[in-house]
Amino acid sequence: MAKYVIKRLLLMIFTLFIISTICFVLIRALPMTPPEGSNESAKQAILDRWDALGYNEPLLVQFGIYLKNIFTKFDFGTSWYVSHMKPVTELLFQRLLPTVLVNLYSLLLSIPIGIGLGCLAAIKKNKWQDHLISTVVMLFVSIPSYVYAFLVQYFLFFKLGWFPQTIYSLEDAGGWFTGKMLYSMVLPILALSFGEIAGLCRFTRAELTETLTSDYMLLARTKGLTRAQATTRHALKNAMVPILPMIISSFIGIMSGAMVIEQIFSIPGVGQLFLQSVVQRDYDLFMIDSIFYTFVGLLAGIVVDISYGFIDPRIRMGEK
Amino acid sequence: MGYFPILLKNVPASGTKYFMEVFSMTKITKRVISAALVVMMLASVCFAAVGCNKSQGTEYTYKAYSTALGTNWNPHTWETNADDTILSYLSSPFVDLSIKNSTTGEYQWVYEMATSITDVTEANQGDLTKYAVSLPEGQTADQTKAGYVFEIKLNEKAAWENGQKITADDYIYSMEQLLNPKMRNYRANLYYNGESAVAGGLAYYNSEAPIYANDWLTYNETEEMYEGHVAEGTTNGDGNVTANINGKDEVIYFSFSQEVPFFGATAEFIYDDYGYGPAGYFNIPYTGDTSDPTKLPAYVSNVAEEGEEAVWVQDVLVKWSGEENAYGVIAATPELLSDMKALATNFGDDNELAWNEFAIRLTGYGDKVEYDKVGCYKVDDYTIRYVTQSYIDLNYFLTSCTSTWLVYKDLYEAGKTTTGDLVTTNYGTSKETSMSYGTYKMQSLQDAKQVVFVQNEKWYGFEEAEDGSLISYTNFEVDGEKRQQYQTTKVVIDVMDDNAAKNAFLKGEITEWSPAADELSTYSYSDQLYRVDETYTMSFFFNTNETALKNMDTTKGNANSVVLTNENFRKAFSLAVDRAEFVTATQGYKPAYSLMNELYFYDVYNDPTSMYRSTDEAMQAICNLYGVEYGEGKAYATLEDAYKSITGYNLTEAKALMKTACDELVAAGLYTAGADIKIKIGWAKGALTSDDQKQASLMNKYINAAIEGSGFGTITLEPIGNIEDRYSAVPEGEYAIGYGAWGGAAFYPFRNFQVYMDPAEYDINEAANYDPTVDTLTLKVNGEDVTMTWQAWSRSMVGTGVYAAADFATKLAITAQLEEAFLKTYYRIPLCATTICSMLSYQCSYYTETYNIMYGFGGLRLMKYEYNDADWAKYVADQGGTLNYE
Repeated sequence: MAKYVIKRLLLMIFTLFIISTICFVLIRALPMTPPEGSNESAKQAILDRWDALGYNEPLLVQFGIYLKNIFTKFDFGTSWYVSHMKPVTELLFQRLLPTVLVNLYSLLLSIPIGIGLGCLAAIKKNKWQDHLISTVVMLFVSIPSYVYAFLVQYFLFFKLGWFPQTIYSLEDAGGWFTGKMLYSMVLPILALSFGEIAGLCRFTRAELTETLTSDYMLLARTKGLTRAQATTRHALKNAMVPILPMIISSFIGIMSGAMVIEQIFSIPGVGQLFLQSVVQRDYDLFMIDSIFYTFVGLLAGIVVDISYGFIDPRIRMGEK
Repeated sequence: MGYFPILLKNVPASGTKYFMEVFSMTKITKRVISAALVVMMLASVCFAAVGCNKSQGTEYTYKAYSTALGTNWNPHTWETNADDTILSYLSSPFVDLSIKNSTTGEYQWVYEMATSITDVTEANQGDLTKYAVSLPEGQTADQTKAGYVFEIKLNEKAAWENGQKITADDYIYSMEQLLNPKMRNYRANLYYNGESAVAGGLAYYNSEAPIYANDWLTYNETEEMYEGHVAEGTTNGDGNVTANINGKDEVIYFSFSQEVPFFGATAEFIYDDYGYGPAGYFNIPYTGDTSDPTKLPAYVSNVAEEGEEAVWVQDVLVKWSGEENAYGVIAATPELLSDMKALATNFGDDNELAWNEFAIRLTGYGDKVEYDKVGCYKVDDYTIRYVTQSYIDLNYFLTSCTSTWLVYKDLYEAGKTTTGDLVTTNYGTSKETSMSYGTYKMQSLQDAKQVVFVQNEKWYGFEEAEDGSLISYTNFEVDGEKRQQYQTTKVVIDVMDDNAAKNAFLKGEITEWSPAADELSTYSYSDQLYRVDETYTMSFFFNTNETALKNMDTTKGNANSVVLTNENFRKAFSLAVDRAEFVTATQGYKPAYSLMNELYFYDVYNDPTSMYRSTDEAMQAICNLYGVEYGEGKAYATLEDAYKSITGYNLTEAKALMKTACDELVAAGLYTAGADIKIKIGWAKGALTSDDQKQASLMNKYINAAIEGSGFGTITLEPIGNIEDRYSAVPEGEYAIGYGAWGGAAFYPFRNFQVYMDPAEYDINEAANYDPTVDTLTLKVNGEDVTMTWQAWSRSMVGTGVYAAADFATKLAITAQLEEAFLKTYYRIPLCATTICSMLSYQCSYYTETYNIMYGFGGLRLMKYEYNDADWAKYVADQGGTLNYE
C-alpha cells in the first residue's frame, strides 16, 4: 500500500510539473498590451515595468527565474493587477476561506438531504414518491445553479426580505464564523445545494436500488433480518461504496470556487480569481491558481482511489 | 433477478412506515435527528436576531457599489477609475471647484491643501535658466514675466490621519519618488509630460537610461549609400548575435520603433504606409529556411504579379515588434537576424550586409541626473515652488492642481521592494499601507468585497460638535451663505453586480445606482434620475489605406471594403446617418456633429460661460462642414440659427455622393458595380449587447438607404465585440471601421487635436490614412496663410508651440479651422455624445439639480440628507420594504 501511495505521489508531482510548465508557456504566449487608451508615456511606464519584471526574456529564462524563486524563496510571485502588489500566495489563501465556507455549508446541507431522498426513492421505487423525487431531481440536475441563484435572490430577498441578497462583509458580520455571516450565506448555500442534493439523490437511488435487488439481501431476509435491518446493515452499506468516494471528492472540491455563484452573491472567493488572472494577464496569480487547482485535482484522485480500500477491504490496490 | 418478486412480496404494506422504521432504528439516530432539529431552531432564532440591522441615529451613510474595487490608490501608480475613487476619499487637492451661484451656474476655486497659488515667474527668472525651461524661440529668461514659476503656499492646518503635519518636505519627497527613474511610476507622465510638466522632470525620470544607436555606419553623400557595414559574428551564451564593431564584439539590436538608417525613419512608420497586404514588404515568404536571402525574390510585388504560390504569411513586424523591450529594441537572435536579412531583400537591397542598416547597439547610458535639477523645490516649511517646463497660464495651471502627488514617506519607504532593476512600493494597496490626508479615512477594506471610509477627524475642515460628531462648514459662500459640507459621516462601497445593485437600490440599501440603458425608460420621469453629459464623442473611424482594405477583403472576411478609400463615400456615409433617430434607439446618447461638444471651455477661469462650441469660429466650422449657409437670402438669418439647424442628416446629398463615389470607384477599377459590400466594424471591447445590435441595425438601414440607385450593391455592416484594443486594431488593418470615443481635457480645447494628429503622444486611430508628421495643412492665422504639418498644428497651442501664448481669438480661430479640416477628411465621422444617468436615493439630494461640468451637482461636499440612517431604515420599512422610483 505504501509503495502504491508513494508511486502515485511521485506521479502526481511529475504530472503537476508538466501541467504547470504548459500553463506557464500558454499564459505567457498570450499577447499582452498596455491598457486601451493610455497615452504613449503612460504605456511606456508599463512597458518599462514589464521589462524590469523580465517579461521580455525568452520563455525558458522566465520559467527558470520562476522556478528558482519558488525553490529558493518559496516565492510564487506578486499580483500586479487583480490585487496590486500582493503576494499571490497570500491572495489565494485569503480568498479560499469564503469559498470553502460556502461550499462546505452547502455540502453539509446537501449530503443528508440528498442521501435521504435517494433512499426514499429507492425504497419507494416506481411509486408516486419515487416518480415525484425523480422528476424534481431531473429538474434540479438540468437547471444550472445560477438560475436558482436568481430565483432565491428574487423571492427570498427581494419579495420576502428574509435574507440579504449578497453575503455580508467582514466589517458588517464581525468575522467569518459568526451567526450573522452564516445568515448572510443562506442564499448562496441554497443555490449551490439544489444541484448537489439532486446529484446525490439520483446516485444514491441508483446504487441502493441495485443493492436492494442483490442475492445477499434475499439471504439476509431468509436468515431472519427484518427488511429495515437488512437494508441498513447490508444494502445501504454496500451502496455507500461508490457514494462515499463521491462525497470525499466533493469535500476536496469545496476549495474550487463556483464562479457565477460568487459573482451573483458577491462572495470574495477564488472562483473569480482564475478568470481575472487570465483576462488581466496577471501571470503569477494565474500560475498559483493553476498549480493549486491541479494539485487539488490530482490529490483528490489519489485520496479517492485510496479511500476505496478503506471503505471496502475487499479492494486491495497495488497488490497482486 | 429470479428472487426479485419474492423480495417485493416482503415489502410492508405501508412504505412510509417501513422507511421510518429504517431511519428510527437506533437511539443514536434519534439523538442525531433531535440535535439537528434543536440546531435548526437555534439557527432560526439566531438568524432572526441578526437579521435586524441596527442603525445609528447620527449617521449619514453614503452607500455606493462597484463591480470591482480599486486595488492601487498610490497617487504615483493608480491605473483604474476604481483606484481613483478610493484615492479621492483619502486625499485633498491643492484647489477644488465648487458652486458660487447655483442659479447662474457660477463657480469658484476653493483652496484646500494650498492657501494660495501665484505666478512668481518675474521674481524668479533665475529658475528658468537653472531648470532649463523651454522658452519660445527668441525669448530669453529675463524677458519672461509669467507662466513658468508658481508659488504654492501650503495649508498649515493640513495633517495626515495620524496627526502628523504635512510640510513642504513631504511634497518634495513625494515628487522625487514620483519621478524616481528606478520606479517607472505609471502616473509620472502627468508631471514630466504635458502642459504642466515640471521642468527637468523628464530628464530626471530618464536618468541613466540606456542609449541605443547605430554609430558604425557612415553615409557617403556622393555615392548616396551607407558605408562601414560589418559581418555578423558569433552567437553569445544568451543566444544573441554579436558583431565586431570598432574592435569589440557587440550584441546587435534591432528596433521597429526607433529610427534606423535603412528607412531614415522608424520601421513602424514605413509599415503603416506600405506594409499591408500579402504583397507587403514586411511579409516574407515562409520557406522553412529563410537563412539564405538569395533564395528569396527581389521584390515581393514581382512575385505577386508572377502569381507564384508562396505562402506570404510571415509578417516580420507583427512577429517581432511585441518583443521590444522598454526602450524599443530587441537583442538579435539568429532567427531575427535571418528575418531582417529577408526584409532587406524584400526592399530590394542586394547587399548581404544591408541588415546593418536596421541594426543598432548599446552605445552607453544617459547622464545621471540629480533631483536638484527638477523644478519643484522647497522655499520654507509651508511654501514650495513649481517650475513648469514650458509656458502655462496660471488659470490652466490651477486646473492641474486639482490633485496632488503627496505620499506618506514612512509607509512609502517601508513598502519598497526591488525586482530586477525595478523598485516598487506597496504604498496605497491596503488599509495598513495607506495614510489619508483627505476628508475621509479608511476604516476597513476587504479585498474584492467592501471598503468603508469614515470621517477623518484630523482633516483641517472638521470641528467637533457638542454631541461628539464631526461637523464642517464651507470657508466660502455658496449662494451667499456658508453651508454645511461633508454631512456624510460614512462611505461604504460594496462590490456587487448590476442586477444586485438594482435590487439593493430598490430596497433602500444603496444610495446611488446607474441603470443600464435598456432600463432607463422605466425611470425617465423620475425626479431622482440625474443625467450628466460627458465630453466623449462616439464616432466611426476608418482605415482608408487601399492596400490594407484589399488585404482585409481577402483575409479578414470583408467584401469590397475598399470603397472606404473614397472620400465621397465616407462623406455620404456621414450624411446618411439620422443622428436624432440613432440616439433614440438606446438610452444614454445625444447627437454629435463635431469632435467637441458643449462641455469644452476655453477660458474657464475668467469666464465660466466661455463655451468653445458657442464661439463664432466653432459654429462656423461646423456650418462649413455640413454646408449650411446663413445671411441675406439664405435659409437662416444668423450664424447661430444656422448652427442650431444642423442635424448632420441629408439623405438627398448622401444619395448623390454615393452615386459619384460608385462611379469613381468603378472608374478606378476598385469596385464592380452592383457587387455586395461587407465591412466588419470593431465595435466594442466587451461582448455585444442588444443596444449595440440596435445601433448597428440602424447603421445598416441608413447606409443602404443612401445607396439606392447609386450602383452599389447591398452593404452589410457587421459589428464585432470582444476586441482587446479596437483603437489599434483599425490602423493595424484588422478592421476597416472602428467605433469608439475620445474626450476629456474639457478646460483646454486647444490641445485636443493631438489625439488625432500627434503620434508621438498618442496611438493615432487614423494612422493608416495619413502621416500627420509629414502631411501639411494651411490655415489662416491673423489674416495670413500658415502651413505646418498636422502634428505641428495640433501642438501649436501647447507648451512651446508657436501659438501657445497667443490670445484666445487666435487660438479659437486655429482650433476651429483644424477641427473643420480634420472632419472634412472624413477619416472619422462623429455620431453621438455619451451621457451618464444615475438614480439617487430618496435618502439624500444633491445641492443643485442643474449639472455644471465645473462642480457637477455639488458633489459629496454639499450633499444633503433628508433622513439619517435610522430614519431611513424606518422609512423603507414603512414603504413595505421596496421603494418606487418610477
